[in-house]
Amino acid sequence: MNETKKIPIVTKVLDANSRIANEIRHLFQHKNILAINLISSPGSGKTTFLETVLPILSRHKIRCGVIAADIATTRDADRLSKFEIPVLQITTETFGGACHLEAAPVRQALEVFPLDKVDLLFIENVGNLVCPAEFDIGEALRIVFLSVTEGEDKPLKYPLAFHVADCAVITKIDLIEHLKFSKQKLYDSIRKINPKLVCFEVSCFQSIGIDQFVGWLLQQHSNKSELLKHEHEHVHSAHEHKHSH
Amino acid sequence: MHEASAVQSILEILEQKISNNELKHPIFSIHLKLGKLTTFVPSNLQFLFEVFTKGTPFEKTLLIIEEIPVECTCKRCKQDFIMDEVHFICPYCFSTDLLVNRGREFFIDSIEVPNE
Repeated sequence: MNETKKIPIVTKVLDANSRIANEIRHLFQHKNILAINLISSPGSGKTTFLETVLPILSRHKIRCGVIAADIATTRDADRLSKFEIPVLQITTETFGGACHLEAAPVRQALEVFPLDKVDLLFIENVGNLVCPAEFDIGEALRIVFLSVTEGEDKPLKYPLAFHVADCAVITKIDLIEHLKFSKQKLYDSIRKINPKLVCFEVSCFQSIGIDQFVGWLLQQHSNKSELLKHEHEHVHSAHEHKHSH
Repeated sequence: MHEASAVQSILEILEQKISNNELKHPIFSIHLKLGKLTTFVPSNLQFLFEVFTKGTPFEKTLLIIEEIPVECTCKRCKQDFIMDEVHFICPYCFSTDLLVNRGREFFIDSIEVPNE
């Protein structure tokens, strides 16, 4: 007789997170809110980008809200408070200084967030291109940001963040003439990871590419009912195969 | 270091089963399956597992991680293939319209316990 035996468990490690993320997704469906998870390394310009697009979206009568996450400080929320929209800061130091947002702190934030006042909710994740890509927070869309100062090989170095994104925003494009940055190499990298990724080149300071991005976003917003019906496509594929051996 | 959350979740899942009397200590080993398209690093998981279980009933439990390659099917030519480096292109017909079948998994497959 064998001295040991194997007992099958077959449980996803991030099962608890996925369950909470699904609760959040149902809440967004019920409230008809398009939630967008913004992922990038620190300093890529996510907050500056929001400062640029929020007034434009307001002119289009889209009621926006922001949940900003950082390990510490409320600086991002402070910067966005001037727009008179609901803004809430999550500091993950309360959750062990997590380098990414998980579904639980988002759910906790949503308990006090005025959801009836927003149509579109930006969730600005902690600046990090690795960890946030793994954690479903109930969003309908994911946008990855990459500033040209970071180098064109980032999609190859952090493939999952680009693989699970619906859109890439290439920021600080006005600086490109001062850098040895090859757009060709960037797009070659992106095509290897996510050939269908929608990309926008933008400069918030020079107002380059903003209208094109807003046009895309408005299109997504008008298609909101369809987007909200489904789990995020990339999350879904992970679930589909969780029991494969 | 998102592996910390993952190790915590692994322990919570098993502790839950122990408190429900579905399992009991000792657990000799925990067998994980980890897709290569995830961002979890096996050596980080091992290190944190040792740190988190020190002085607990899991202290002598082994964490055994089996990596799962990225397996795709080309939607155009229907060929199956394993992706050795992250490049989403079919090596047969060069289409980029692919279905990723495996490679995103991260689950506790089984545990090994005394055969009583």
